[in-house]
Amino acid sequence: MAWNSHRLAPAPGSLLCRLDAVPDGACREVKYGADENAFSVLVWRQGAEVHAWVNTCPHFSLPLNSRPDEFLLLPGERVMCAYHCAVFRLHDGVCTEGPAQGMGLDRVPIEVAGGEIRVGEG
Amino acid sequence: MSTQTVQEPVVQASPASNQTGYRSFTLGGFNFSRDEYFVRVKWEAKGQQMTHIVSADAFLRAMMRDVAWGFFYGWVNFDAVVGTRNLYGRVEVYCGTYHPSYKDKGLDRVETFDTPLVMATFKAIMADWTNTGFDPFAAPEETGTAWVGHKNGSNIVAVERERQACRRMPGLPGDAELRSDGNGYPVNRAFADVAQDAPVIKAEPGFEGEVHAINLFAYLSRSDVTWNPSVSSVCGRSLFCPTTEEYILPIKHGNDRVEWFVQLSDEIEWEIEDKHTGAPRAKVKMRPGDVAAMPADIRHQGYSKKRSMLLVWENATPGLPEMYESGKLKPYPVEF
Repeated sequence: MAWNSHRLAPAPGSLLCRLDAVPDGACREVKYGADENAFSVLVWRQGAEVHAWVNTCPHFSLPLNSRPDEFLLLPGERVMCAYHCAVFRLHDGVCTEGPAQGMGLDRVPIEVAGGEIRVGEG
Repeated sequence: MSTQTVQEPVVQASPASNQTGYRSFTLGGFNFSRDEYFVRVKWEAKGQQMTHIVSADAFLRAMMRDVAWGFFYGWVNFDAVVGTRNLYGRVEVYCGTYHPSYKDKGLDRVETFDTPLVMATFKAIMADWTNTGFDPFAAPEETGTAWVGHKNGSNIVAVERERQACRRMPGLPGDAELRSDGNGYPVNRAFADVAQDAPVIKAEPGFEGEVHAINLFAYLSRSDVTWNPSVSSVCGRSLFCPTTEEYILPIKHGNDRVEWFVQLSDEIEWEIEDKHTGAPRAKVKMRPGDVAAMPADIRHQGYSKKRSMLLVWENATPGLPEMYESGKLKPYPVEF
């Protein structure tokens, strides 16, 4: 299922967040919609490198975080799903450990310009 | 924002014992060791050295589920004394904390760790203590007594087996495969009489390719594990986790939410206890077609004298444990 088929997925050009809202080496959760069915995006920045992922673990389709805007970052630019311990590389979304091996996170295309991170085409 | 960065987990293990060949492991204030028959868990309380002994096969079967389930929902009691509680990002490891005889005298110990450290330590224990030929997921009749004795090789393939999970339903394009002889899932000896035919789907014009169905009984008859649910349908936060059960559920699962059971075949007897004290609460015998809701304030352990099929229905809605803990939700779904 394409990332943008979610009914609350942001349109291309939508602002995800400002670049300086994501500290170097950290993640930020950006949500579209208020309730539990909101569309959630994980934005990760390492220096000038920025990646955005649909915040859904492909294991059980749960969010990667159990508390708002709090992610478990592991050394080596990896994130661990708080629910069942699947580990994903943040630069390509590939699951390297745990119950979602062979699967990966869905990428949200982005464009970074003028200190802003916006949803890209695709 | 509160990104939690955790350290690379470092497993604390001893050299292999000259006597048994097994390593011992330290996690915080807990020490885990095994010998020919038994696992010993040690901790200090009130200046005393406490020791809890568990049969090694029971311990390995329990720890295997904890690892495979990623610490599951709530409490995974290996027995009445030792276990873990999933705090979703961190894990509590305890001895005696949910056993009044220890807790009331201050002889329990509980520590909270980053999840990766507990996972790495438990995986290292499983890898070291599981001998060749012993499969902690298998029924005793299938795997025998290879767990007994000095260290004898390993069974990494068995202990690193992951729980099967689909994104929507098995058999859909790009999703988990249906089980067959060809992909290594023969029909289990207990289900030789289960029909293997597949549903015929006749969709209305315009809906071809949008309707999917499987023979769940056939799918389950080919399960190669016990007490380890597969995820066979995901719809929003609803997870259907059907499973096959034989002998004893190796852990006492303490619920942090209501968990529904639908007995699909044969029988399971359940022992229900208070989640915090272990005080007996109920005994339930489920026969085919029976439905039970395990309340959020109990722990339960099942006994299946013949391999049986059980549908476990989980509500994976984030935030549920807090709603039950705070009393916002009652621990049971219906009042009589």
